[in-house]
Formats: sequence, C-alpha cells, structure tokens
Amino acid sequence: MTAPSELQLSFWMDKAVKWGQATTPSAQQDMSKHLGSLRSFLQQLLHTLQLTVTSSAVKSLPFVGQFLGRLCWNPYVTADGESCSLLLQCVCCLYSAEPRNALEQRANDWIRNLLCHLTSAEEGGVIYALERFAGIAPHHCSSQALQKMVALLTEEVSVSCSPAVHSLDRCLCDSIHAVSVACVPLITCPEAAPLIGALLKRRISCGCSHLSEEFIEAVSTALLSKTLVLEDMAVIALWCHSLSSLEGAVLSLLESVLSDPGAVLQRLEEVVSSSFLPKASAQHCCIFLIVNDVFRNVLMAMEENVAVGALIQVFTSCFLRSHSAQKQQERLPLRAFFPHVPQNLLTPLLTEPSEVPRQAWLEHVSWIGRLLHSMSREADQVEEKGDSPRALFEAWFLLAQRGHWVDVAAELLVSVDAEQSEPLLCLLTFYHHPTDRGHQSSQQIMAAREAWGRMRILFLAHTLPPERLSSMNKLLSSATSANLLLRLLLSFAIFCPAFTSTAVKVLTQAELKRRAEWLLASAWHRLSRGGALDAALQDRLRALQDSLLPEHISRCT
Amino acid sequence: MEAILKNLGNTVEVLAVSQTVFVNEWDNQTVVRAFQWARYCEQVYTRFHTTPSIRAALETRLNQTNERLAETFSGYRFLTLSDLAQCQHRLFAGLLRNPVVPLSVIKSLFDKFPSFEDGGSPDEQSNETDSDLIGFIRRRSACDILCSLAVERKESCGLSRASQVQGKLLLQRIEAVQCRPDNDSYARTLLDSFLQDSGGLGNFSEVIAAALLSGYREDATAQDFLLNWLQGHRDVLHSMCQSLQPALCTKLSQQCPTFKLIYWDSLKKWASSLEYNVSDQVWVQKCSNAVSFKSVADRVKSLWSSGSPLKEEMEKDLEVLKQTDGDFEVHGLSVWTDLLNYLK
Repeated sequence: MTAPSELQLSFWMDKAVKWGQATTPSAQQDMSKHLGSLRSFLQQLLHTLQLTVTSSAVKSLPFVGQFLGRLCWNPYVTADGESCSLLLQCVCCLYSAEPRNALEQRANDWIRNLLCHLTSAEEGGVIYALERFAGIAPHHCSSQALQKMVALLTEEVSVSCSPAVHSLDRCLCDSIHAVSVACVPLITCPEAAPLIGALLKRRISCGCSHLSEEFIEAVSTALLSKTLVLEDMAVIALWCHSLSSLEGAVLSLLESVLSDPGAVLQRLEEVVSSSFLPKASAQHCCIFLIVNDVFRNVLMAMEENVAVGALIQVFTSCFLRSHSAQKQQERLPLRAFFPHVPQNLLTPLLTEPSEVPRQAWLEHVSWIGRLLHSMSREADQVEEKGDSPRALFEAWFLLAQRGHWVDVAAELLVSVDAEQSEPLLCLLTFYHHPTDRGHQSSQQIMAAREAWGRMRILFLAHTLPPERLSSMNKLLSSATSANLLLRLLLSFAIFCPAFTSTAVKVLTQAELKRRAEWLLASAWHRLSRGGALDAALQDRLRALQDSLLPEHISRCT
Repeated sequence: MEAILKNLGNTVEVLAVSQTVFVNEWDNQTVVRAFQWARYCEQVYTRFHTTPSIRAALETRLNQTNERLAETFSGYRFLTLSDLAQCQHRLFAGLLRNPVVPLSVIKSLFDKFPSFEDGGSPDEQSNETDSDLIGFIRRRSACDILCSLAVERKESCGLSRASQVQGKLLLQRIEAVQCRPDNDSYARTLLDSFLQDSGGLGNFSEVIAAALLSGYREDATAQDFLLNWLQGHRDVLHSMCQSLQPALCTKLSQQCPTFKLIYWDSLKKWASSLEYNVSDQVWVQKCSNAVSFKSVADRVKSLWSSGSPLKEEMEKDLEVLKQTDGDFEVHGLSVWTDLLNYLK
C-alpha cells in the first residue's frame, strides 16, 4: 500500500474542514457519498503511520494531526465502526513511547487530551450527571441511550403517511430522506437495526418516501456480508424497492455455490433457505419472477452446469414449500408465478414425485416426455418461420426447475423395456440438449437409446469384464452428451440390485467425478425427502460417494 | 462480607494512587491488575447497591477510606457510591490525565484498546466489541447524529430527543432502585445528587419534564415517585414554570395536577406583580429578570387553548380576580381585565 500523497491529504483535509461537525443535512449527504473512500484513505494512512516515527510522519504529512483531530469530532465519521477504529488507531500511532523532541512530546499531550475528551462527558452537564445517577458504566449507559433514541425515531418513522390527513400534518416523507442519509454510518450498529427496518418498511406503506441511494447500497452490502440482521418484512421491502439489491442477493447465492461447490454440496437446501429468497419469492410474485430471470440468464450464459442446475432445483422446491405453507387467502395461484408455461405442462411438473403413487410414475413421466416432444416439434415449425421458440425455452426452464422428474425418468429407465423407454429417453435428451432440433435431435435420441441399451446389458450381467469397462469409459469421455450418460450410469449404479462399484471406476476424469458428486447428492436429497431412502439404498449411495473421493480424504455423512 | 469491604477499600486506594505521582512506579502488569480490581468493584456495586443493609456497610467503608486518603493525598476528591459503578472508566480517564504515568503504560493502554469487560450487569450478555472504547464512542456519536435530525412530532412539544431519552433513562433508574420497597430514601438521595451535578436548573428541568411526559404505562410508578420528590423541591418546579416552553408547561399541567397548581399560581403571581406604564401603555415588571406581559399572556393563552377542563377553571379564576380588582372593562386598570381581553 502506497503512502498517501500530499494531494490526497489536502483533498481530505478540505473535506474535513467543510464537513465540520456534521450538523447540516448537506454535509451529511456529502459524507454518505464519501464514507467508503474515506475508509480506504484512513487504511492507507494507518499503514503509513505504523511504519514511521511521529516527527517524520508530521514532516511528510503536514496537518495530519489537525486532520485526525477534526475527524474525531465529526460524529458521522465516528459513528461508523470501521472508520472510528481506523481513526483512533491512526491517532494512537502518533503516540511515542519515547519522545525524542518537543514535537513528539506535544503530540503525546495532545493525544492524551483528545482521548480523554472523547471518552468522558463534560463535567457539570446533564449527560455527566445522568451517567453518575444511572449507576451503570458509561458504555452501558450509551448503549441504553442509543437504544431508546432508536426506539423514538423508529416510532416517528413508522407513523404512516396518509394523503387524506389534514394538510397541517405535513407529510414527513421529505425528512425520511434525511433520516436515511443519517443512518448510513449506523448500518452495522446492532442497536440501529429497528430504525433501518422501519425506514425500509415505510416504503411499502407510503409510496412517496424516498430513501437515499447510499443507504440502500449500504444496507444491501451489509445484509449480504451478514453484518446486519433485519426482520423478514424489512428485507422484502428492500428487495421490492431496489432491483440491484435483489439481484445482488441472487448473485451472492450463486457465487457461494459456484465458488466452493464442495462445501455447499451437502447443505444446499440449508444454504438456499438461509438466503431467505424462497420465502420472499412466495410472498411476492415479482421477487420470484426476477430471481428466475437471473437464473435464466445464468443458464443461458453458462454451459450445462450441474451445480447451478441443482441450485435452481432446490430453490424451486423451497419456494413451493413456502408457498404451500402460506395461508389460503394470502396465496396467489401458482399460475401467476409461471406465466409463460402452458397449464397442461405446469400441473404435472409442479406435482411432487411423492404425491404420485410409484406405480403411476411411468405414466406420469411418459406423459411429460411426450408433451415435450410434441412441443419440440412445434418449435421446429416456428423456427422455420423465423420466430424464436420462446414457449419451448420456458418449458425447458420449468423442467430444469423441477429437475427431479428428470432423475425419476433416469430411475425408471433402469427397469423398463424398450417400448416404455421411448418417452423417457426423449425427456432426458430434451433436458440435456434443448437447443438441438429436427435431425440433430433424433440423432441424440438414438445415441441415448444405444447407450442405455449397453448399460442395461452391462448392469444386468453380474460380472464386469474389463474391456466393457474401457468401452464405457471411452463412451463417456468422447460423447457430447456426457452429462446425460453420466446420469444414466449413476442411475443404474444406484438402482440396480446387483452392481459393482467398479462401475464407478469408469469415471476417471476429475470433472466427471465432480459432476457425479452433485448428481449423487441430488439423488440422496430426493430419495430422503420422498421417504424412499431405505438402508440398502443408503449403503449403496454412500459407497458410491466414497469411491469418488481421492484416497486421502475421508468423508463423514 | 468483610472480605468484600476490604477489597473495596483497596480498590479505592488503587484508584486514588493512579491519580498521584506514585503511579510512575506502575508497569503494565500493575495496570492490568488495577483494571481487574476496578471490574470487581463494579460487580460488587451492581449486585449489592439496591440492598439497603449492604449499601450502608459499603458507604461506611467508602467514607472511612475517603477520609484516610484525604489525609494522605492533598486535593483528593471524595468518591461516592455511584462512582463505583464506573470504576474502570474512572481508572482509564485518571491514567490518561495524570502526566506522571509512564509512557509505556499509556502506550499499552492504547495497544490493548481497552475492553471494559463486563462489570456492569451480571445478566447482560455483551461481547468484547460492545464494551470497548470504540463501541462507546461509536454509540455516543450515533446518538448525536440521531438527535440532530429534524423529524419531530407535535406531541413532543419542543422537547428535544435527547431530553426525551434522558427522561426515560431517569425513570428506568428510579424503577431499578425501587425494586425493593425500602429504597425510597436512596432514590431521593440519588435524585438530589443528580440535581446537584446537572449544573443548572435549565437542563435539569427539561429532563424532568420529559420524564413526566413519557407516555408508557410501565413508567407510572416511577413518575409518581418523581412527582413526589418534586413537591419537596419547589425551586425546581418554579424553574420549570419559568424556563420551559409554554406548550410544554401546558402539557405538563394537563398531565400533573400538582404541576398545574404551581404553574397557575406562578402565572398569577407574575401577573399581579405587573404595573401599568402609562406612557408606554404596557404592563411591566420593575426588576431585573423582568417578565413581560406578553410572555405571561402567551403562557396563559397556551393553557387556555388546551380546552376543558383547564379553560373553565382558568376562566372562573380570572373572572373572580377581575371582580376583586374592581371589575373594570377599560384597558390599563386591571391586569386581569387585560388578560381576559387578550384571551378572548
């Protein structure tokens, strides 16, 4: 980190003088815009001061003492935890344990005086008297005073603004902006949370109140980094108010899954729930639609990514659960949440596998497969005319959101015969290759059928000759539909009564192993939720998961 | 018990030494121990100060220690029991102020950036960052900022937010002390000291007014106690009548019959002390600190506008006074006539 330049120091010095003691709204407004960069500057300054002796510091950074002193008396700056800490550390850096000249001695005296005044109330004033009267230490007193202050303001802010009210009761909305500006340094102050929540919620009850941009941004950042905890209603208010903060929350969720998939794998549902997005989506249709928009864009931008697919699937399940947990009268019909999907596709896909009796699964999934196939044919005709097949994309997206039906199809493929397999294979192919059309599509289905046939033979036999293994390996590594084949392979490995875990040894590539981990975790999740996870299945899943691990790591499931 | 009292005495001595020249022999270890003793002292205070018998013992020992220390160190300032609640803070401030403290000790104070570990409330869960110095400065600054915001309601009647908060803290403390019924005299003593320390009846009045007007039902017993105490402090009441804003006094009159009586009496007294200056055609008061007719009249008007029952009471009273004065209708002969005319 480089030392601050004279230009920088004089810029900030000017600011410090202009801001004074932060008493005017315009000063506070300016400060709210510069708080972030002030923090960085103080960090820079601290770094420099830690490396130099006081007298040389004062020589190279003239007025540094004045600058720090001014900021110490600026409550807007000292109310912000990080700035306050940096500021005081800077001041203490200027203290010399062994002063070598008069300058350093003077600096020492000044610092002691400053700290004394900062930490003690003026004797003979009401605050001093109250602290003594209160019989508690000053830091408790200040905490209680702040809590009460926040309670007062929260009450004032929560007064609803009704246009029918007599004109003498002026609308407080103009002042709400000033309050939001004042709250920017207080965002990470735990006592201030009720006020921040009230400011956000006011937006819902009163359309004209206008919160500052810096406030919204600061709240958004603090929520994502978990340095601020707000009640549910306030978070929803924030997301409804500010599109960027909602998108930020979704992207943050995506990032946490993509950046460290291994850590999230076993606890995907927990991670998704704790983001609060599913619950908020159930309460506000617009939030759900925006979240899905982000998901759509991600899916279109990325190549087929198993982790993202799992995330979207889990999100949709959590959402549906929250939705059905709502009271009947508050609930919007599900059709409102999926406006672009035809009803005849929506209903079967939104059904949970556990709601359909096992014997009926084949018919249910076959029906979906056939419907998707005919939609795909229609889309071919639409494309020939030059229109884009929007409906098909939405159908595919819905299938992605309800991905466990794809898993069910793969599970069924283990036990069905050739005739029954047709719609299931169509479904699987459509899921993995939605953009393939006409001739390409039929080719994919053929390839899938062939692979399925071979796997069937492989797994129904009880021994696994090595040359079969290597041919399977070749198939997986060369095929363009590696994920589809992987899914089939794992399905056979899980659901075949007799198998050999050496089948999984087919997976030699690290990338395939990673994807296999996700698919196995999804399977575990689906089966345990559906109550189908008996001891034998558990053992098999666990053995498969273990065989995917490198030898030196052990997993506890 | 004896052990506790002895430790208390020792801590007070340590505190005293920290403010004298003898502190130059201290090293970092001594400071750490001193803070530990100070914390212990705070805990003792918190646990026992509401128990009258133990409190008495603590006060006795404290007085003895104070006397001894006054003999040893010139300029020693007596410590009260309430001061013990802030032992750590006093130690810190004392060390900072004392020029003789070794510089390395000061440096170590800064390096640690002292966490005043919780000596305050045994049942409060506070983590280290909350009880440290930075947290303290932060919160005070936060209060300052929120105080200065312009959003205000009509109901606050010109009371600043700071006063409102202070009023609530006042009531909270009274309630905490009153949790034991035989602490009334203790509560009174505390209020007396508060009055003394406030450095001026003006500030104090606002806090008292805010406390009396604080709207919550839980505060009722504490408010009653406060009113009771006020009745023994007429000077405070009079100061409130004079220095608080008319709207505030009106609100208080509506809320507290005691205040209403005293307020109305004061206003009548002021009005009756006015003399008519014929050349300037105004009512004036011949003394320094003179109240003007207008200021009295405005206050009366504020009471008047609050509606019944105050309005009727005042009207009756004023009519009687007007009658006794001669029942004049002409301006300048009876202050009561002129007041009534101003009001109507």
